[in-house]
Formats: sequence, C-alpha cells, structure tokens
Amino acid sequence: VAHPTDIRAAVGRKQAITFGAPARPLFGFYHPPKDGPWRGVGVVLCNPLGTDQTRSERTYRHLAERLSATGFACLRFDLFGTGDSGGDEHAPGLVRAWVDDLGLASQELRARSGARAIALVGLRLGGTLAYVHAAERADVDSLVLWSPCVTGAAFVAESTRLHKLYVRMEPQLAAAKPPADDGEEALGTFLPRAMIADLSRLDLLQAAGRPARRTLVIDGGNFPGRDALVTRLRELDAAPELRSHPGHKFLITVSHRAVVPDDVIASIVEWLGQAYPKETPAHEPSANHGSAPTPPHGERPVVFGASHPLFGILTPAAAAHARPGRPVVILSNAGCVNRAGPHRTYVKMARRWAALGFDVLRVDLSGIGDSPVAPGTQENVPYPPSALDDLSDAIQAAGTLAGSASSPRRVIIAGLCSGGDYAFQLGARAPNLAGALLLNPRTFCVLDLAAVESADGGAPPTTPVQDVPRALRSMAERGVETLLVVSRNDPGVAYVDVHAADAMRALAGTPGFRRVDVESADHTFTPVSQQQLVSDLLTEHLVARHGG
Amino acid sequence: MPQDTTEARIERLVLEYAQTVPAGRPLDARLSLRDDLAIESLSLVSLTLRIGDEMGVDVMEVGVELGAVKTVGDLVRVARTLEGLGKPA
Repeated sequence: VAHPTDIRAAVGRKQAITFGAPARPLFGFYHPPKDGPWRGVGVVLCNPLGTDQTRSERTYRHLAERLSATGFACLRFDLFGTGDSGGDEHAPGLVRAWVDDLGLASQELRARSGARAIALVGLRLGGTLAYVHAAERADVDSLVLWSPCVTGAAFVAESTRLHKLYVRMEPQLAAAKPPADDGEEALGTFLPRAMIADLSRLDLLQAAGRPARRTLVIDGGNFPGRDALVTRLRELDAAPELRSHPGHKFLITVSHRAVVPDDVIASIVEWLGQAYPKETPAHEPSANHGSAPTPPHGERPVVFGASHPLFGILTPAAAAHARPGRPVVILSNAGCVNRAGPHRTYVKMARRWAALGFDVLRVDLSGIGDSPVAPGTQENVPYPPSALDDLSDAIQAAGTLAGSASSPRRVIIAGLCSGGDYAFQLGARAPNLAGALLLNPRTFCVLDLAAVESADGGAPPTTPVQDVPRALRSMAERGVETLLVVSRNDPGVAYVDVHAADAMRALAGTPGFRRVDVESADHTFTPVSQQQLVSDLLTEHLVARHGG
Repeated sequence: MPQDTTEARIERLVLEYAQTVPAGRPLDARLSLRDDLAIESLSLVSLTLRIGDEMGVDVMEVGVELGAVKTVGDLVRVARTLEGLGKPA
C-alpha cells in the first residue's frame, strides 16, 4: 500500500491530493506535464454537478491525461460538498464557495507546477462557475466553456424538471417521500432552497468583467443562449471562438455504455496548444507542494494491488468509537460509477460508518474511476476480468491497513449493482469475510445479463438460477452475515424470485441472512428519501451485527 | 422548405438519444426504446422534455400519460398529443 499516492500508468502519472482551506478540504488529482519541455501553463478542470458530474468523470480524466501528455499541468478536483471532497450539500454558501474553490485550485496548481498562466475548462454548470470565477479575478488567461448553463436558473429548472418527469415515468417512485428539508431533488442530488436561490443569481450575460484573454465556446448540441453568450464575450473583448461538436451522448448515457467524446477533447487540447508553445524548460517539480489541510474525515487515498496499481480511499474509524478487531468495510463500484458511488451515496455512508467506528475502504476496480486499466484489458467495463483479484487485493490491503500483517482484520464486502454481484461472489468463496451487503445485485455473476434485463421474464433460464439461493444460504451458514437490499421489482433479484421462487422464500428465517425489500425505489435509489432509508438500514445492520 | 412530419421530428430526436442505431429508415414504430435503441430511462426522460420543448409545450404541465411509453410509436403518439396542445386556439 502506497501513501501518499502516486499512480503511474501507460497513460501517464497522477497524484491524489488534498488542498484548500483547513475547514474546507478539497480532493483532486494533479496530472504533471509529461517529462521534457512543457508549456508553462496549468489547466484547472471545473466539475459540473449531479448526474452531469457522475457521467463526465471519465471524460474529465481522459482530458487531463491528454493535456498532461501534451505538456500542460492539470488539476481536476471535486467541488466542496461533492465527490470525495469534504462537506455536503447542506453546507452554507456553497455556490459562492464553489467559485472560490476555483481560485484555490488555481493557486494549488501554480504551486505544484510552477505554471506562469492558468486556463480553466468547465462543462455545463462547471463552465458557469468557471466563467463567474474568471470574470471576478481577471487572472485567467484562457477559458473553455463546454455547453455551459448560461444562467444558474436554467440549470436548476432543467435538472429539477428532469427529476419530476423521471418520477412520473417510473411509477414505482411516485410514493417516495419528499426530502425532509426544504429544497428540490435533481435526479439523486438534493438542492437546498438557499442553494437554488444562489444558483438563480448566476447569469453569465450580466457578468461585467472580461473573463479571459481568449475563450473557446463548445456547442455540444441543444445549447440555449449560445449566440447571446458569444456576442457578450465579443463585447467584452474575450476573443471567443465557437466550435460545434454535436452528437455526443455521454451526459445522457449510463456510465458503462458511454463513449468518451474524443473529438471534443482533441479540440480543447488543440485550441489550448495553439496559444502556448512547448518551450518552457523541462518541468522541475516545485519544492512547494501547495497547501495540505487535513483531509475530510482523515481520509487517506491509497494505492494497492499485487499486479497493477489500484486506487481507493480509506475513511478511518473515529478513534473514540473504534474497537480492535472490528471488520473493515469495503465498498465496490456500482457499474462504472467511481468510488463515490451513485448520487455520492458511498461517500456519505463511508463517513457515517467511520464516525461510528468502522474503517471503510472505497475502491475502484481496474479500468474504473482512477484505477488504471489492467494490462491487456479495456477500461470502463462493469465486470472487469480482474475484478475478483482486484477485490482480493483490496481485502488484503484493508486487512492490513488498520490492522497488522500478522493479524489481518476481517472484512465486510458491500456494493450496489455489479458491486452487489461481487459481494455475493466473495461472500460465497473468500476467506476472512465477516459480512456481505448486497444492494440490487444484477446478475450475481451467475445469471445472463440479457435474460435478466429482458422483459420476457417467463422464458426458461439459461443459467443455474438455483445457485443463487443455495449460495446465499451457504454464506450465512459459514458465518458471513448477509444483508440483501432490493428495490421492489429490481430485475436481478426479481429474475431469481421468478425462477427459484421456493428456494428464495425458504431463505426467510435463515440465521445470518436478512432480506429487505424497499418500496418506491429504482435501481440506484435515486429519491433522496430512499438513499437515506438505505443508509439507515445498512447502518443499523452494521451496528447490530458487527458493532460489538 | 416543407416542415418535418411529426414522425420525422421524433425520429431525428430519437436518433440523438439512441445508443444502438438500426439501419432502416424510417424507424419502425414498433421498435422498443429500451431494448432496440438502448435508450435508458433517464435518457428517455430527457428526450421527452426535448419533444415537449420542440412542440412548445411544458410536458410537466400537461396530463399526458408517460408511464406507458415503450416504443417509437408511443413517442409519436405523445408528440401528437403535445402538438395539439401546443397549437394556438
């Protein structure tokens, strides 16, 4: 296990970093320029929000890698209250803080790289924030606005409308309770009323200052306000260039099916490269590695893995509640969503459980999130060929991280969707396992995915469905405390319920096995109330079964 | 220039969102949005809002039944309903 984290892969080198003000730690990855003469310029990538963030995470990583490979220093990071950074959506003054986060990120990037100029790149709301920051500070040299929301109000209207329509189109969600706090839901992200009010004050057409010496506006299709924005940039002498790259679907596509928009990335890299020739002498790492506040909840980025590097974040148990020998919880990716989990649920649960005295390790499997792809395989695959080996490495790493090599800690393996499938597989076979938390497993790594997802649930199964209840019983019998949490009619468990009905029913009452069916929920527990309900369920289970 | 028919407008929008694009044109009305065109539920939501925007109707404000939208033909029917609502009296 390496700490601090430096990840070297075929695509380049990167370093997990924490920076920002002491009370407001920000998490990100620094991508230094490739060895040799470089461009002397740092590029800060500004994340969008909500599902836009989840679905652009891989694209941002590719962009950072490409920028690094062509001689730029790059920093991509999570805004406060999002991703792996500290805080949550209830923090006061978040919108103002996000704009200021960009200043901290620029400062950090200058300190680490020695960059003499800064460029900002932002997609959707990330573009909006980047523009506002740049117009206020007047020290951003180049600005890339990728389908930005011209007003914050437009972002709020679109994302909350999408949520409301989604609930109408998915009838099982209709009964989900509204959030307890005053605000709106936006497909799994809660927007408190005060945040909505702050977002609604953002209007790029009203910003007075010139945001940058040169600007690139990328139209990814369906871009309301585009022409007005370009006109305004021209009035401000910001030398706007408009490029159209329609047809990309990564923002409307589930992560594992999304295609990285390579032509947009190439366009951004080419446009930035035009202005900054590669003539700065070979990059010498700065002695000043920037600020280093305490990471959120004392979290530690870790690199582990026997054959190739894997990335994870350990949230250590709060010292006041930790107990020797208590199992470590490992959270495995849900599909191709990174270690933050769908709707950031993994981050929130990890921090909640750590406060109760559990060490929690959130891992990225090979080729997902920030774990490099395993040699000879493809990235962005929800079931990577090395997954079980990756998780065995994670179990070994987790067992020794907070324990010792001679006395490894036992492990609880948890995950949603494919993460639940792997929790099932490891629960059935791995030694040293104390528990398994399975959330909406899709195939259990046993069933045929196409058959599970087919509407024709009555067709005879082509895979040994009976293996699922048999293995669940066996897990419980060998002491793996198993909790199966299922959204009503979720396809994976529904398929097993149909084809192995008696055996599934017979599991009820098996000591060490518990199943909970959750009403008014979809596959990823999009309603905020259902995210809270699942978090409560798992927390109660952990405390009751493993808290002693 | 002649205006697009409803079917043509829906086809253009559906192809913006489809992950799997069949060869034949026009698209068969019986094609399943999810199984044949790989349009997942959140994309379908986004697509439906776009259709409403194109028809000049806020889909959230009208009582169109959206829970049963499964095929290209279903979307065309929704679009026709919205089209009627969007026309000035």
